[in-house]
Amino acid sequence: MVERRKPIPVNEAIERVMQYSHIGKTEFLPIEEAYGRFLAEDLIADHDVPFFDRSPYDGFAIRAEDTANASREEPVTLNVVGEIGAGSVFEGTVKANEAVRIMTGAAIPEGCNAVCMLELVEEIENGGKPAIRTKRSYEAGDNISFKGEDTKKGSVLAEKGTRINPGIVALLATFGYKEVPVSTKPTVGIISTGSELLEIDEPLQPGKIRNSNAYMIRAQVERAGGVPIYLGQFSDDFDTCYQQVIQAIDQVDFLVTTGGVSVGDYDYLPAIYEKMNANVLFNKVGMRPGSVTTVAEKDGKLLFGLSGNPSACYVGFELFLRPIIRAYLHHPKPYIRKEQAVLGTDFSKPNPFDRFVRGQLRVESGKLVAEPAGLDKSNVVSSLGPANVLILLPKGTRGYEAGMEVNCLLLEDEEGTDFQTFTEPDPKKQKTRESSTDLFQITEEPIDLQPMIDRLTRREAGAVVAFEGIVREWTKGKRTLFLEYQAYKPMALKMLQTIGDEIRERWPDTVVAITHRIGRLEISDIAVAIVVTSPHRKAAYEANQYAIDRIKQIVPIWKKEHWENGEEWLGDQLENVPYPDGKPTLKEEV
Amino acid sequence: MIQVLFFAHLQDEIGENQVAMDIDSLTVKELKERIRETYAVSQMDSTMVSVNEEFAKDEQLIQRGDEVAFIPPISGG
Repeated sequence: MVERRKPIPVNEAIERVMQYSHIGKTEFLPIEEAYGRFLAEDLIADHDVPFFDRSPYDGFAIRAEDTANASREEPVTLNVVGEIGAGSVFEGTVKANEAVRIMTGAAIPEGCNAVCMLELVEEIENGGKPAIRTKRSYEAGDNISFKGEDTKKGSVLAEKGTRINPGIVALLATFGYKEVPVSTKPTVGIISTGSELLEIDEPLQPGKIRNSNAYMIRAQVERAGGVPIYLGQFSDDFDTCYQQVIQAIDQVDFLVTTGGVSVGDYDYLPAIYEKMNANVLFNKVGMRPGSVTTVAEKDGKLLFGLSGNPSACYVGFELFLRPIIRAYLHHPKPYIRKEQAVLGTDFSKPNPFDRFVRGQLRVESGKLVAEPAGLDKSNVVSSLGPANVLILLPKGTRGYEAGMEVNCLLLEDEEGTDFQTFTEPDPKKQKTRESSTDLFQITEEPIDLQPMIDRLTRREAGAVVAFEGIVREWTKGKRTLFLEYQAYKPMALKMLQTIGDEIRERWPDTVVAITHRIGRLEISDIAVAIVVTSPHRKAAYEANQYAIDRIKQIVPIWKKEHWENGEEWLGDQLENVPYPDGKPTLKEEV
Repeated sequence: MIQVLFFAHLQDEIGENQVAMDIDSLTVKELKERIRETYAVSQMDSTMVSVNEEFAKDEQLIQRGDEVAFIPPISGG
């Protein structure tokens, strides 16, 4: 019998997995071996940097007060009483009208409180001894790098969980970390399942494929910061498989199986989970690819059942294993970094699930542009090579068009992100989407102009033009009792949005909000309100007029007049009926 | 099935605000004629048609699953 599984949302699945997150132990490695590992403790400055007041320039260390009266007309002469190279110090104290030749990085001698640069003084002889002459005066502290100016003792220079890069190595060395506290690497066991799998060196046979998943996962484990341990392929015999899993989980921190998680007859994993009494966290996720991803837990240890399809397997790893590995490594931001990019091409597949499309990210005139990398099917391998992002296309849209903003998960990023940022749909976009629908409304409620004005008022908007269309009593000698408006609402909203887009195109930085009321309206009720804000008055007036004209052309709303002596649906008040080709004049033809 | 929506005077004349038609595909022009014949509608020349909330020209093909609306001359504002 085939079991019916209930998919859970991706973020919820990640949350369930991360409940079992735990951090690894600390080990000490010689600094030479620390590169690429993750700090298990904060990197703390054990002394001030600089450790002593020092000279940032080649020049002369002086007493500022000696130069107080120096001027172009009356330069001051100071006797040079010594020389200090970097790494050495001046013995004794510098006295009045004395200077010491000092090299970059050397300690300021006692008695001195400023440095004058070599090129700003004149080197002379004074009674047969070396001296300098300066035409300008100095203040105490001029040209000195003070003790602790760079880093104060005790400050945290890198938080635990930071991946050790060459710069961090420099800091470790600066602060005396001969042995570096790093996280132990988690071990990740890998078992592949599937009688269709060939080892790499076996010749190809019909019906079989080479086992690419095991090697791909090895590399993904390493990229995330773990140690992969390949435990071989599952046997065809259930009891042997069961024993394999039982033995494997004792050897490793996390266990990954690829394949064997769907509901086919030959897939043993669900039965194994059941027999070992493991707690299945989920066995179906509302995403593509990788919907059959299963994660189970036994005594706090996680078993990841990834799909046998390479792309699904890849995505499942990055979503569920990467954060658990990074968290083990003390990383404060274990989730894959998410950034906004512009979609480079259309992606017209309908989207009943959240989709993670293997894509390529590039920079185009300072903007991030993402495009799908090759064929997007879960069993396709070729698109994995060039992929450096997963383009996240949330469910519930009919398709995506080039130019739309999308979120991308950066596969090669080291910084990562936290759960809140990772799961946030996208604060910026959410906001604009909300406010853009807010801007255009069809309502049965009375219209209130003020909130519309408030919504559009901006610091850069120098002009606000507000228009109210009111139900009037007398039209060409006929008396109106009341009006009735009807709308084809979804299309009307779309057309109002179109008008907004047209206005923004014609008058830069000019924003419009339009509310149209429908239903029964009495005399003096507001039927339509249009608010335009713009940096300039002229644009605001013009755009407001344009909006009402366009409403009468393209927005499917109708008015029925109820007069003293009858009623009538009104048509085209601009009197351009009949439409020559069955259409109103559209944007490009205006 | 094609969903056909009517508004304003068409709605009053036809007596329905929407009908479902069991048709696979036809052009906008053909649908207009069919509606005119079926419901003896007075004036259709000035009526526009939208397919899936976009204005459509006479020659556009309507397909199963589409939502079509007859849009008499509009009078909003």
